[in-house]
Amino acid sequence: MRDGSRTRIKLVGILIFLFGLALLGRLFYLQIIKHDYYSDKANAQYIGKSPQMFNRGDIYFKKKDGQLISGATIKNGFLVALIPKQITNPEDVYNKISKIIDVDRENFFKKINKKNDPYEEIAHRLNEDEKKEIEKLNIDGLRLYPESWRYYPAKNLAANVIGFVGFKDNDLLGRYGIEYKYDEVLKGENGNNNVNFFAEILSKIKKELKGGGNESGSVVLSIDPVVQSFLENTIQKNFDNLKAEQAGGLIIDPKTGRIIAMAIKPDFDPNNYSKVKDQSLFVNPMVENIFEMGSIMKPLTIAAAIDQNKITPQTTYFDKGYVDIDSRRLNNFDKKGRGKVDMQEVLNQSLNTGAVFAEQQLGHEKFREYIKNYGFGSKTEIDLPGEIAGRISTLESKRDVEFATASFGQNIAVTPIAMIIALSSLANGGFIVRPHVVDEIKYENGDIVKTEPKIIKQVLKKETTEILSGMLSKVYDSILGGQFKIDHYSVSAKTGTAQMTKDGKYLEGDQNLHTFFGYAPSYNPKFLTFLFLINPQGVRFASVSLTPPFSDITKFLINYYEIPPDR
Amino acid sequence: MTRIIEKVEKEEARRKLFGLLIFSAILMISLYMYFMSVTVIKTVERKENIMIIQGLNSDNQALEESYFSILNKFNKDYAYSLGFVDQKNTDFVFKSGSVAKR
Repeated sequence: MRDGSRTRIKLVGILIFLFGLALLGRLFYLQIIKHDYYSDKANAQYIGKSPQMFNRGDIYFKKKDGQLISGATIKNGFLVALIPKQITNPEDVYNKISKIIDVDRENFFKKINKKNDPYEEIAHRLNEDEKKEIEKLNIDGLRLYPESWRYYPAKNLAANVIGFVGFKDNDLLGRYGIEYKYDEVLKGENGNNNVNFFAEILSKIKKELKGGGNESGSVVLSIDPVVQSFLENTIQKNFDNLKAEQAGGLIIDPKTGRIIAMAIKPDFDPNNYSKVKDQSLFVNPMVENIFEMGSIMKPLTIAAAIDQNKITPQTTYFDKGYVDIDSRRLNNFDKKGRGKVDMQEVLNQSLNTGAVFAEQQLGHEKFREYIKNYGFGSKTEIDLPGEIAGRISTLESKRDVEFATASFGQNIAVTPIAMIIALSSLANGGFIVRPHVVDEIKYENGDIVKTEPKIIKQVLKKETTEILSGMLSKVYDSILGGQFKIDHYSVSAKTGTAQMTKDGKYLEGDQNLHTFFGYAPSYNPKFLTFLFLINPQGVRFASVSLTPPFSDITKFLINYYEIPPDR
Repeated sequence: MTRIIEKVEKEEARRKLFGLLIFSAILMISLYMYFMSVTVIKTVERKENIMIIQGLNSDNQALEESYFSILNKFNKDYAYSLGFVDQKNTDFVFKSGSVAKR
């Protein structure tokens, strides 16, 4: 080999050697000298983030113009952690950081005394400014790590619908409401894992090779925050004034089953759910509790009898103020008789004897059939968790009195949502629709799954519903002497006052359930409102307790949705 | 003579091969450095973008919070306090039949 070639080979060899040496040196620097630094950094990015960092889809409210407003989202901030053995002067460290953030002194010193513990968290949810202030202190053994948490900017608004995310064992999961029902959608396949950029690329490649996975998505509710806020403020005021045990309200589009607002009082702030002592507040009574609804049942009984051509609004009977069945006396609310009255008066004056008459004209078999078709014995399949079916087993009895009491809303118990769907059939031409609070799901990959309105069945003829809407319109116009009649708008409505039951027995005194439903405009309704109050104090009838808030809500909705007058 | 020619040709081929190797090595190193730099820059940019997005999200959350507090404040009582008066004797204008015709 020639000298020239040897020299060149040596030159290349030296270059490769130097390059290798440089790589080795860099490796030594990174792996040995800066090991702790990069190890901390990597942990903070990769391991340390879980469960402090987690991905979860948002939940949105939807305004009437389609604008989305966050109901549940992810908030980012920082946590402060200590390496106890590196803290040489705990008192000084405590004094410095407690000037910037709230730190519990006892807890701080308890943690700092765990000298063998490599990592102790002392404060959470710091914002950017607080983080910068802490960093400026430059304290050895003090670390700041990014963290994120579920945040509900609307606080109590629609809390029973949205629910919250909480720990179950060691996992962060949706616990109630939409957070629970759509947990799989919101968290997607990645769940709580948060990985760095390179790991994310690798995980995506892996996912593609495996054939993809479940994308996480955001849930868009049909709840309009403006309407929800108005409904909540109105029923809260009523709840406070009447010192009730519980109050609730729901506004639905009766034609599509789209729920625009759903409120329960008292409620809770999902940001601080751990501070709530009474866990029954997390339950949504609209779908998870059953009640004997009382007189709002009467329009459904009369509708069924009219639908079968057994009676008309002009059909009359003689009201003695009571009716004796199976050796039981069933009275009107005031135990007074009105003599010869027609079906319109039965609704106007809420006569129990009239509802019994209508049921008797219809017959037990047909009455039971209509009750089942209204959906009272089954679930509505609403997209909220924990729904229960109504209790209508009393109608399997052969005793006449069971059917008589059921005709005016006693002895059968149903969820408010089931009652609302049944009443919606009076407003929408006779259809039972599936109620929903989710408008659409927006997946990360861009897919959008919309909730289509679903008609379950037709239970009443259109003509029957038109007759009932007219009758109920007269009812609303006559409530409390007609003082709540709305000029230029027809409103169909009915009140209900039912005795509360406990352990199978009716409670005496003020232990009542007040209910109210109404829709407007009567013959082409844009919304149906349902209100209830449990045990309001100092007021006997729902016509007094719930007509004023219903009237306020109806006027608001007419203005908000710019509904043209119909009379 | 033939041997001399062959030797010269081999020498020429070796030189070309060596040049090619050097060129390939430089190319590989350059490409490696280029792609590494791009990756690092993109990673840094991505991190910065995430920070910007988080900042914007925080701003948006603050706006939504104030939106909800204002929403609670805007009611009829507030309107009355600003001088709102309920409209009396509302009249509506309507026209029977359809207006638009094909």
